[in-house]
Amino acid sequence: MKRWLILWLGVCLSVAPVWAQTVATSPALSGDIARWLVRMQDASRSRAFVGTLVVNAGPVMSSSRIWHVCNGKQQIERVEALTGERRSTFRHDNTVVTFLPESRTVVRETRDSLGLMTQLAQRADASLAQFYQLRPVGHERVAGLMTDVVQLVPRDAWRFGYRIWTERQSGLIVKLQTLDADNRLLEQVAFSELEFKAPLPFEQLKQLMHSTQGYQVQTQQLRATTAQEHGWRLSAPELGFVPVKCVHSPQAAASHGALSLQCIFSDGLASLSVFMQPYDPHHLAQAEAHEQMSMGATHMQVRRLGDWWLTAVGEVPGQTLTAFLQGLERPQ
Amino acid sequence: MNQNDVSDALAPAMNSDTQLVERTVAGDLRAFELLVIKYQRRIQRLVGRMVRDVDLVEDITQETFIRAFRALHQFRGDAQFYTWLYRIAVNTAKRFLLELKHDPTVSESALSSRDEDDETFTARIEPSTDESPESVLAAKEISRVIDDALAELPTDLRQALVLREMDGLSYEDIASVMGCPIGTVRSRIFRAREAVSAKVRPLLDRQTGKRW
Amino acid sequence: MSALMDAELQSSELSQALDAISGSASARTTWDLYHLVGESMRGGVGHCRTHDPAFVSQLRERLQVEQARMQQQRPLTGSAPTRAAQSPLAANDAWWRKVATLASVAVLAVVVWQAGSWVRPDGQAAVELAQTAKPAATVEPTPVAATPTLSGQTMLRDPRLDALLAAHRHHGVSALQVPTGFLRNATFSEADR
Repeated sequence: MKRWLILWLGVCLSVAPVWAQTVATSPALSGDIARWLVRMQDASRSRAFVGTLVVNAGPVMSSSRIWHVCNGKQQIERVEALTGERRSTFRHDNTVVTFLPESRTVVRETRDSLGLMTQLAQRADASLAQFYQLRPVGHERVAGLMTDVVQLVPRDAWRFGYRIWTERQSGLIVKLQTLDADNRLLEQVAFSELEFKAPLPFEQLKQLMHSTQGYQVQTQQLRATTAQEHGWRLSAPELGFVPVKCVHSPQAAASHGALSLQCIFSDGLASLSVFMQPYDPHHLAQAEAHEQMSMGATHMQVRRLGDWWLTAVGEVPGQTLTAFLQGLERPQ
Repeated sequence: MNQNDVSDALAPAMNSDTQLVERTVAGDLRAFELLVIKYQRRIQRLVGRMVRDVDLVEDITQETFIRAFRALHQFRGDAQFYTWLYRIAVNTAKRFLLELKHDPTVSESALSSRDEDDETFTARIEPSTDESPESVLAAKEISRVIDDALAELPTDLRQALVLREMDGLSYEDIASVMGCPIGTVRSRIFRAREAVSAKVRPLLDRQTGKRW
Repeated sequence: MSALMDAELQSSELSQALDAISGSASARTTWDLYHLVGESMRGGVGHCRTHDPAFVSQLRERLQVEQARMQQQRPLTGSAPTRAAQSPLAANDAWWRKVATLASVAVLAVVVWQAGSWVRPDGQAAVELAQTAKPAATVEPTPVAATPTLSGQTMLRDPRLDALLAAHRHHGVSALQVPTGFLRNATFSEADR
């Protein structure tokens, strides 16, 4: 614990009270997943940071520069892509704004998933302990910071395992690996650089988020719905993946017509989506010849059911996706 | 101003990168050198994540800075220099790897990529030589020395430095927070840095000559 | 130098500073050190390495050559600055964007999707792939590229799959979502073409 840090009051540029810098007892040792989760989630709320995040999924490496600034209870995040198409994504409360400089477009959307996050956290203790076992692994330096390492071992074969590195003092996740049943690495998300400082004041970042002059703004509204409304019955197997929500997804609709439905399930850590779209013989995806695909930890599977084309995608093993696809019915 | 043109414009007071870039474009190479010194290791680490061969890493890093230098007049001073440089580094590394793949005299071991099509490469997850035991130990020691030196600083020196480095305040803002003239702020920060650096310098002398 | 670092130098002072620094190796170390102190304070120094003087001097020579070459070529001035070039979108993307636009006025015209390479788990030869492929849509070129790899795994790219992936990631709900999950989703971008 840096002595001089105690002498520096105020972690975030704000009127927030001094964030108590007590030496954290690692919850990993007590084996309580829920408390550890809460601490992790709180971590980003309390500390401002700037870092470079690198995602390795299969053969692909992507990275981005992250700014995270807080103001008491509020947070703003800015993610700027360093690879691939240039874009900057801002997130503030329930609003996500994405700037695409190359097409001079801005996409603004309101997500309710963040509200869901609190629900999820509250449910976390029951479901997570049921499906995962928390094991402390040790300590390691990542990006120059001391971290506690834990492993979340799945209790069954329907989900993947995780190894998680959290920074000692803040609890911020600095590295996250998704592992398959043989402990092989499927995907890794990690900070290659991380500094706890605010790159600029909260208000300025907020201003940036709303500076859309010169850009064409598109607003995305998602309509919540249910599978039943559309004549589907999902006898979701008792695998611990409970339904979270169903929406008409614009992205899916653009590919297969306006009647695309997306239903999302989650066990608290991993999630999967099932898409139900009309089957159109003129727009056959190459996917038909390949029923199973993967990219990093994400797996995808497809199935045709009469006039419908079903796709399941998620960070779960293929057999879980199969189980969901088989569980879809369209009672007459 | 447009958003992305402004994107990091509110942070230009944070460091001198933009000023140095302008100076370089005006013809002064020494300004560019300061940028190279500042970013050499970070870029090398980034490239080291993509390529296994240590010599190659250094070549690619050199090439990255050369390309950056050539393209500097295209760099708009209102975006972050480091981000711009980062992209150049990634693209340069990829280009190198592609060329090497097509060169029959290059052995497989020099490349870190295997089994994929022309347009992707396997990114190594752990950088090749970064966390050798000696370097970790050295890093810890330097870190400790810096912490100790900071704690030993007189309060007003430390406070000025903290406000600058942790909160990113300009000298003007620091002056108003601390209630003193700007000249005093400038002097305090300088003296703080000098005091801390003085303690670290002897450690670095021990390290010269090591590659990583 | 301290003030230079913080961009608090006037341009007149800048010349003097550069004069001083260029002459002295220890001044360059100082520049390095001042930055090191800052980074250490902010918590991210795992690699406490200062610059490599040999690297810098080698680069300096090359830069001087480069500068001389550029001056001879008399670069154009006043032209609109171009961004560091991203490789042009493949024909696939053009087709894809056309489809997205036609889909529906109510639906978003610009789909923020992330392209990627999908891997088929069991390696089947590319030949088989061609045989089982059904005829694609008539006029537009196939948006899909399938490439056999050395190990026999087939990798393919399909914008439609990518759209579904984007939709999934968009709503991905996980306790690990904040912040890493969201960041992962926002970070993960196309396999560079």
